[in-house]
Amino acid sequence: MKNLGVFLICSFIYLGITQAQDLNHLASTYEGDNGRGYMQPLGDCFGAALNSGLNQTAGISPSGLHLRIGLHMMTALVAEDQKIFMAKTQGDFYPEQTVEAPTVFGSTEGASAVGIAGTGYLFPGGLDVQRLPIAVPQVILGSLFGTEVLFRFIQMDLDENFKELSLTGYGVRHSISQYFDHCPVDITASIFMQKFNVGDIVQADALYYGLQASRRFGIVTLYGGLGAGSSNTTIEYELDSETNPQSISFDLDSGAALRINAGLQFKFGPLFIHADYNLGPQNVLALGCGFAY
Amino acid sequence: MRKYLFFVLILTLMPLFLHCSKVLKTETKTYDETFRYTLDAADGIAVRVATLSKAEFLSRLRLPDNARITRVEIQSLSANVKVNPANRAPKALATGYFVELMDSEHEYEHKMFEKKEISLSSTSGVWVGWVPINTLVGEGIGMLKAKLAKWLAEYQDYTGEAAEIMVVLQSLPNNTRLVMDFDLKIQASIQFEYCATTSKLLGTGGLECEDNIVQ
Repeated sequence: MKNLGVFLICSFIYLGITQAQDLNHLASTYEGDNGRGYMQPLGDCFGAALNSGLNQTAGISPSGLHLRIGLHMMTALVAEDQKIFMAKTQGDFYPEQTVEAPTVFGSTEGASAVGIAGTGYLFPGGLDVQRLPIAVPQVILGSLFGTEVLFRFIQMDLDENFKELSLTGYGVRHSISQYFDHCPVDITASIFMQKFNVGDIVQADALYYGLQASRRFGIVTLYGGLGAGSSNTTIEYELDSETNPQSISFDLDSGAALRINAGLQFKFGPLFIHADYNLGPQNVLALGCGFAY
Repeated sequence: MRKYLFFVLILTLMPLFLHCSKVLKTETKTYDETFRYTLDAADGIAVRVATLSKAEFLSRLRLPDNARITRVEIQSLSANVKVNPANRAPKALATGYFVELMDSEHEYEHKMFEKKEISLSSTSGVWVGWVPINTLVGEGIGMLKAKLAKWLAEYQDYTGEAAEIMVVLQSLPNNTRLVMDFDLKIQASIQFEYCATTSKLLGTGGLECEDNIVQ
């Protein structure tokens, strides 16, 4: 059972990383503002996905030991306007032009600009990605005075290209409804911070805080939340130029934005499964399962 | 109980194990080639030639083994100079040619750019920095592009072939001693397709393909 869990976790992460090698390749042909425009949707989707799948119930007992272990998959849905951006011709190409070109999630067909005397400028295509899934294990431990702590943690060595993948997340949830008599729903407040690294290429920080509410009907729990999430992703790569290789680094800042979510959880004894949809500047579908004791 | 949980887990997560497939991916690479010409012309006119070999060009590109070239564009030409202290000309005009080597006895010159004015009044012994050449001529640019496209169509064959890039530099005013290093940079964009493994989890589209793309 333990080996299966490790296998599943590694499989989910590997599926994402197999695309990371493509990203390094493609991202290294852009620099400056073009690089930022090309990669910004990745930062937006990744940050939104990280800030989802955190809560499946607002019910926290005032005290007593309980443990909740789950594997959660958050899939950011790529919008059509995230597949294009306005790219500028670079270098000594003449005349300088701005062209609609694919982002990293856009069409694999690149764009082009026509210059003087038969010259041309080619913009690279993207990876034609419709959705970006990530999967993470999560542990919730509680409770003391209606307070739980949440953890997310992965650390593993990858190949020589990416060296190491690590995800560290921690947060706290506190029951608000415990202070009210006969509250019709459970209400909690939470805050959660995460840090994610893939080798030397990607470093991401994410912050989420908000209020969650839920109500249980037998084995079914309806839950929802209102919160704010933000993330900052730093991409560092080598510009792929034969004569002028250089290190490029830029930040993809997905500013704080309101998010609402709603979902269902089914609980069969210790086993739970859930699904919820997160609405915001970036929409995310979260699915997961696990055990709660 | 354990078997039940195992079954539930597999069933729940089965949709996530959508298989990987090979699809056609498009990628763009930028290629820079710099040609250096050193000249000392007492009469103010110098003709210099540099060679571009197919083998060197292809070896520097480092394309995937299963790549198929779909497009080649000449992006820009730029010039850089380092003036020698013995130089007396305040300016120079540069004209460049792509020389097509037909055989050992025949060659044909196609003009790529003409009369690019270069200021030589800056500090000697120092590279002044790249300046774009905007006096381009379609004939030479087109022939250079066609040659590179031909080489790329045979990118796994490194044998034979070369081309020459010729530069004619003339001092302004005429007959003034011209002593300098002149660099010509040609920047090209190369687009190619190749088969890559992708996961259906990402909902990626694209044509499915085999590893060996027919050239």
